[in-house]
Amino acid sequence: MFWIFKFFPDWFWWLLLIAGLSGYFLSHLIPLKTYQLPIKIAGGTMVAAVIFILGLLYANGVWQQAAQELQAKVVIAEAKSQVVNEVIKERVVTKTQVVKQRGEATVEYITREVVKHNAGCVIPPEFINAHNRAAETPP
Amino acid sequence: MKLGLLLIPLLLAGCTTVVPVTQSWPEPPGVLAQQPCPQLEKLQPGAKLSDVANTVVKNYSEYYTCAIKLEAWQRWYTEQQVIHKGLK
Repeated sequence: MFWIFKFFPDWFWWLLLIAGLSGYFLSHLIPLKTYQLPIKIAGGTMVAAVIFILGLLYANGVWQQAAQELQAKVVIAEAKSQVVNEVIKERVVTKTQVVKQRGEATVEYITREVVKHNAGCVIPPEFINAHNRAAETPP
Repeated sequence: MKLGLLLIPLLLAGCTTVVPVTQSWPEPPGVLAQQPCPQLEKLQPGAKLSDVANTVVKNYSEYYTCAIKLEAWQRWYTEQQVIHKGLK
């Protein structure tokens, strides 16, 4: 609906305002009483309507400017967010790699050293049960 | 009456405030952080000492990998919150 007001250039509304004011004040100069009142009413109505529309256009302009400023901030924030994400992403990859390497090194150590004690150490089923119970995902 | 009806939409147009600001939801911190934490490995019956040690190591590694993901999300939230508050 707003496009109706933007369809006309701004000067058109100022011109209408001047026309309305002129109509209102010049109506006093008209000698015929028959025309005086309708012209006065038309002029007054026109002035009121144009003031409303000018206010509308001004408010819209203010909103548009505020929206543009906010949009610019949003663009900056999105760029910042991307940078932060890249840092976090790299951190996750590096730390995961470290954990993986440490795990592999320990597994290698187990394969080399712990295996030697396999024969001398019997794992009781209760131990396995206890471990598996602890490793179970809670409901 | 008809003129009055025509005027209503025009007057209501003054109430419309179109604020064309679009903000996309912040991206997640990578694919790795989005992967769910796996279930912990269990021991097979008759497992040897080395099997126990291997399983424990794998489970510890899974814990630390999961902790890294959680930390990433916590940091992501804190950082995004700071950025978002900067908009106001």
